[in-house]
Amino acid sequence: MAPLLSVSGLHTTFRTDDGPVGAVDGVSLSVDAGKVLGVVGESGCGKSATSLSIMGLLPRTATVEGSIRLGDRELVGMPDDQLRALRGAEMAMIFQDPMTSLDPVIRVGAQLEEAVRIHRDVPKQEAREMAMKGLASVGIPSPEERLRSYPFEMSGGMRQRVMIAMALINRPRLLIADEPTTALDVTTQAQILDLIRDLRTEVDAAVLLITHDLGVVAEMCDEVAVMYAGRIVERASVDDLFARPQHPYTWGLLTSLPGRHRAGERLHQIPGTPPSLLNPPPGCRFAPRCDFVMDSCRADPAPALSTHDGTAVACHLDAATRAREGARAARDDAP
Amino acid sequence: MSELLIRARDVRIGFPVTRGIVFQREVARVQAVDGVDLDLHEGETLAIVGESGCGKTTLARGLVRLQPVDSGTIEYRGRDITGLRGRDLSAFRREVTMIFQDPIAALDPRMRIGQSVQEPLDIHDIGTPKERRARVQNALERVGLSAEHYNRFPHEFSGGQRQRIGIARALVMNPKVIVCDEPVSALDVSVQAQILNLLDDLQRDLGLAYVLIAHDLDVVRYLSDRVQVMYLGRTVEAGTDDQVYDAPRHPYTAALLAARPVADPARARTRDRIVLQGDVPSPIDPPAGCRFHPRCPMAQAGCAVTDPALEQDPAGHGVACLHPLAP
Repeated sequence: MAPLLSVSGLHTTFRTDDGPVGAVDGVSLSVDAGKVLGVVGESGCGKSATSLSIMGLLPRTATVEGSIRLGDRELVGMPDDQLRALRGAEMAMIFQDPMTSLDPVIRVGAQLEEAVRIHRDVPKQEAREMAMKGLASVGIPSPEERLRSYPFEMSGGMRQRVMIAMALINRPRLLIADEPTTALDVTTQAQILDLIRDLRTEVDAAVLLITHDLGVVAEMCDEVAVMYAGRIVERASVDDLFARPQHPYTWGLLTSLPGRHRAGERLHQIPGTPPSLLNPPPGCRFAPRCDFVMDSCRADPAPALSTHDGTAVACHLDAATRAREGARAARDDAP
Repeated sequence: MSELLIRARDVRIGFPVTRGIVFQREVARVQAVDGVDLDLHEGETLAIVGESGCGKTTLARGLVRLQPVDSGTIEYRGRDITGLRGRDLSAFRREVTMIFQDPIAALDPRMRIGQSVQEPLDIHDIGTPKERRARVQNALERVGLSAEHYNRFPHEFSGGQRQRIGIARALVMNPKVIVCDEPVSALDVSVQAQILNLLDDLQRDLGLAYVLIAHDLDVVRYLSDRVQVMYLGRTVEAGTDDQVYDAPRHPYTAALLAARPVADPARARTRDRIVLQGDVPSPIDPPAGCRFHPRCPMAQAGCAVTDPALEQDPAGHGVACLHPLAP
């Protein structure tokens, strides 16, 4: 079976006053129905630019090249009106901050009904019914009354539930969740993660989960792609990523988590900061910060993703070193 | 025992809730901090943990006198600082400084960072211009920046470097205590580790005491010696790291610990999770009895009536709960 979403050779470039910025530089990934693919990385690594490219929500200063296929349709180069018909119906997105994504002066019921009636020619009464069921399905108490609430009358967790209800109301086949719990408190985050987990089995959608939090990845994902400076550096099943991480950047991420350390023990730190994408270093983009850097890493061509035992990794290091150091990084969590 | 630097008792800090634009009147008061005690000893780190709206930031601002205190006492080295004015207040502010969550908002975008870091010295009129400059360069080097950064502007720095500038600015006064309000929550993981290590080094080298305000329990455990968990303006549990993390006695603490996502897929699938229902109630009208009872998975009839006080066991582990979890 062909994957529901398949992205290949995606290049997203922003025109800026200082020159072109290659936010996404040759990303390929795919997600099957009913599966959750996590895209993890730090700010500026291109994870959000990837999701906005898929949704076709980039500003006009951006150009997208490569291929994005949803089912059997190609989204790159698709006319705006066709894309609009897909957005909200076949593919939907949940954003980090529900307050800026909901209209502050319209009742949430009307916003949910609008999401239905844009895509389907149903009577108002039926749309209202669907909106109410939508709110009920995301665990909002007394949904009928809540339809009449304004977003500001709700808590952050409640608003995020409304966003999720809205994204799912037309039963999309692809759901993109961009940092869905980052703005929430930890107890609310647990509620929302539980909800996404329940709904995913129910609606059988393919989920692309964008996050910077490896804890969220471990809780939610089937597969993971680690991004650094616009490229995927490692792609693996969630178990393999945590048990046998292959890329030095992934090791750095895992070993710098404070939760995996005892007090008094020094945290591993990745030196320096991510490179500017205006003028990225040649060769492997992680080379300037890598503890294992070799001469070949600093020269083009950059290491390509190559697959061993189901894990794809873009690194020049030999397999034996990777296995040894990866095991060390993974063991780091033993409390 | 090392010297007791800060001793706060029954601190209450509130904000007015007003109605009307022309004839503004106070209709209610939000008790953001409602009777909190706190002790901070020389060279130690005390963490204040809780979710948004629990009053942790208000308490932090109260400790450094950025926020007036309604009632209660905050003693710094035996002297109540809640009523300090003039020269005494500025002497206090030389010894107790603060770093903020968002370093870019805390820096003037039009000031060179050398000037920004030097500003506290200018305000307090410390040293000659030459001495001031030397102290600034010293502070910049301490936090891992170099003297050549002196003439740059804040926008030229990354998030992690900006937080280093914020720390340099707090350090330049040679303080005894730094109150850190969410020092790493705006930073990426790899940079977060750099700043946590820096704070750790500075404490060791300079003997600083920290009050660490955070919502991330993992960050807290890495740096802190003792933890105080807050909920709706009250302390619900307090103790050493090991007491609170390994044997939490308040159901809220247990739920907070259980709600953390675990960066280990096998454990994430098998562990027991306590997922709290509902949201934190409004502090304008807090629930009667124990403030946590409407969300507490272990609430019993009495919890809605009796407001439990914080009680310590012989080992110093405090909990405010009528039916605490077994130790």
